[in-house]
This record gives sequence, C-alpha cells and structure tokens, in this order.
Amino acid sequence: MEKFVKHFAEQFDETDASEFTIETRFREFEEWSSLTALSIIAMVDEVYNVKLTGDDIRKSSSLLDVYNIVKSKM
Amino acid sequence: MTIKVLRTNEIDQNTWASITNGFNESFDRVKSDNEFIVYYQNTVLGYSFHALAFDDSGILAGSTTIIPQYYIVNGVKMLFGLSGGSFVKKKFRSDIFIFSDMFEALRLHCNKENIKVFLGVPNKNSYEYSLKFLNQKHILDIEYYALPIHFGTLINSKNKYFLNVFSITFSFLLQSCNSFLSLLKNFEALPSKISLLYNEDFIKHRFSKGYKVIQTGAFFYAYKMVNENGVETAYLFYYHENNKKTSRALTKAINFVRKNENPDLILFIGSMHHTQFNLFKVPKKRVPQLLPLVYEVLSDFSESFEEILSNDKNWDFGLANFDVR
Repeated sequence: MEKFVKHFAEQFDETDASEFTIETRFREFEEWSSLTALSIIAMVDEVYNVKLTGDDIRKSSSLLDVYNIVKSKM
Repeated sequence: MTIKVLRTNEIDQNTWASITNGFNESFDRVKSDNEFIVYYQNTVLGYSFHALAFDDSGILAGSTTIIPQYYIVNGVKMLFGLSGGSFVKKKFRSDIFIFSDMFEALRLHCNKENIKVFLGVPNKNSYEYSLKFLNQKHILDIEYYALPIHFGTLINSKNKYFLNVFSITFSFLLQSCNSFLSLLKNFEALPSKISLLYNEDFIKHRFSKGYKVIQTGAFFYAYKMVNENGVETAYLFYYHENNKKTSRALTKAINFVRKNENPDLILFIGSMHHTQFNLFKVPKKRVPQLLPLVYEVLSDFSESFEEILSNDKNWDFGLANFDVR
C-alpha cells in the first residue's frame, strides 16, 4: 500500500509527496486535472498492469478507493 | 453543474458571447460570435448540436459541439456527428468530468436525432481523454502527403536560394512526368466502405468561405491557401474526376495550384487509396501534428457494423471531412 501511495504521489508535480496518505482525497488538490487523472491511469497500467477507466476515477474520492479498484482488477 | 443540449439556432446572443469568450480564452484565438454561428449553421441539417455546461450561478463552464454529416456506409446513407469546438474554462478544469458529462448529454440527445456514430479528431491533450474517459476507439492516424516547392523557405535555410532553385526544378520535372503519365495511365481509388456523402449540397456547405473550388469538365478540386509562419501552404481538400478520386485529378489539381498560387508547399491530408507519384507520404515521425481519428457508435448495432468502422482500410477520411486549418 505504501508503494501505491508513493507511485500515486509521483503523478502530482506541484503537491508535496508528504501530503499523500491512503486516506487523502486527491480530487481536492488544486493541481488535480484531467492530465493528472490520465497520468494515474497510465501509472496503474504500467506498474500494476491494470486498466483503469474514467468511471473508476469518477467512483473514487480517496487513494484507498483507487487502491481497492486496482486490487479488485488484479 | 447543469448541462443543456441546444441546436445552433436555439442559443441566445448572450450565450454565444460566452461560448466565443470561453473558446478564445482556452485556445488563445480571436474568433467572433458570428464566425461560430455561420460555421455551425453551415451543415447538412442547417445547424449543429451543442452541449453547454453552466455552474450553479448560470456561468458557462464549457461547451462541446457535434456537427452532423451524412456518410455512406456500405452503400447506406446515415447521419454521423463530428465533434469539435470543445473547451472547459480554466476555472472549472478541476472538475475533470464536465467534458464527459457534456458528451453523455450529447449522446442521449443525438441518438434521438438519429445520429449513429460520433467521430472526432482530438488534439494531443484530449486524445487520451477520448479513449479513457469517453470510451472512444482509435481508428487511424490521418496521413500527410506533401510536395515541397520552395524547400529552402520551408526549412528557413541559409542556402534558401540554392535549395529553392533545386526544389522548384525537381517539382517541375516531377509534375511534368506526372502530367505525361496521367495521359497514359489513370489510377482510380478503390471504393471505400465508409465515406462522406459528396453531393452538391455538401460541397456548397463545406467549401463556402475561404476555399477555392475549381471545376473543369469532369475534374473538380477544392483547396485553401494558408500562410503558416511565412510558409505559403496550399491545402488540397478534395480532388475528383467524375466523382472518383483519381491520380489524373490529383495531377491536374496540383498543376493548377502550382500555376495559380505559387505555394511553398502543397499538402493533402487524408486517405488516398490509389497509386500516385505527385506527393510524398510524410513519415509519421515527421508530421507536424498527429491527427488521430476516433469513433464511437451511439445506438445498438451489429458486430459487423463495428468491424467495418474499426477497420482503417474502410475509411475515406481527410481534411474534407473536418478542418483544423
């Protein structure tokens, strides 16, 4: 889970990695945009070999939500 | 956020002003309300479909448009919708689903209007979004074909004069050979399973303001001159001989443009499906802007319909179908 948080945080250029925990509501960050969302989808595909969809992101508000979706698709 | 879908003629003046401002702000352009209205009315139905997103205080957050076009698919005429003019204002971009919600509203509306398929040629930023968030499918990357006439001007070289003399001579000889060859042999494009319905009405609407449309006997071609960073570029949109793409029509069109416009570069962007020796195919790595064609089917269709749409070889698609210039 820690690694997931680390990979997730790496997709944000301007937000400090220390601000990310598994509980973080990432869509509330000022930096959040469709480009960050696409980076997360690409990261999950590359690192976990899981295809996330736009709907998966829509359903998620915290990192834990995304983590659970990724786990369920593995 | 409230999303409304309206036809071009149902949008009031104040909203047009907001659409124009939003578009100009997003893309750093200086279009007028009237340019948009004329462009979106100039379609086979006389209007387009616009999804407009408003925030809780009624401020326009974004807009996207579907332009109706008739296509012939395996001999059957049907209505497609080409997406374009999309933007979400900077202030609202943290809500990454505004665009997909507008699209969903358009899907529901356009399905009722008997539009079967949405097409799009998204830019670099929105291509991935189209695939991941709108669930659209990639068909092909539109091909570029070029004939550099003033090569020195194109690459802005110190040896401009020498390169230009060389390329003018080369292109002249090439065209002379092609003119001669076209007397001996005419290559005809194989019929495509999917193509725009080219009729008088379409041509009248598609090539109205800013285009040069030439008809001489059986030959018909349309092009547009654009100055891009000092390079006079002739965009060839359409070349037909008796309603078919042929190498002879291409040769005639290029000869006409060369003689009458003296361009630095002649470009054709689209599928050809016939042998020709007039233009050079630009390698994908060298194209100035990748133009991916994406699609989605709106209503329930058979698998064979999807198979036809997803096969890049079935398409006759180019700048005549859409215009980014």
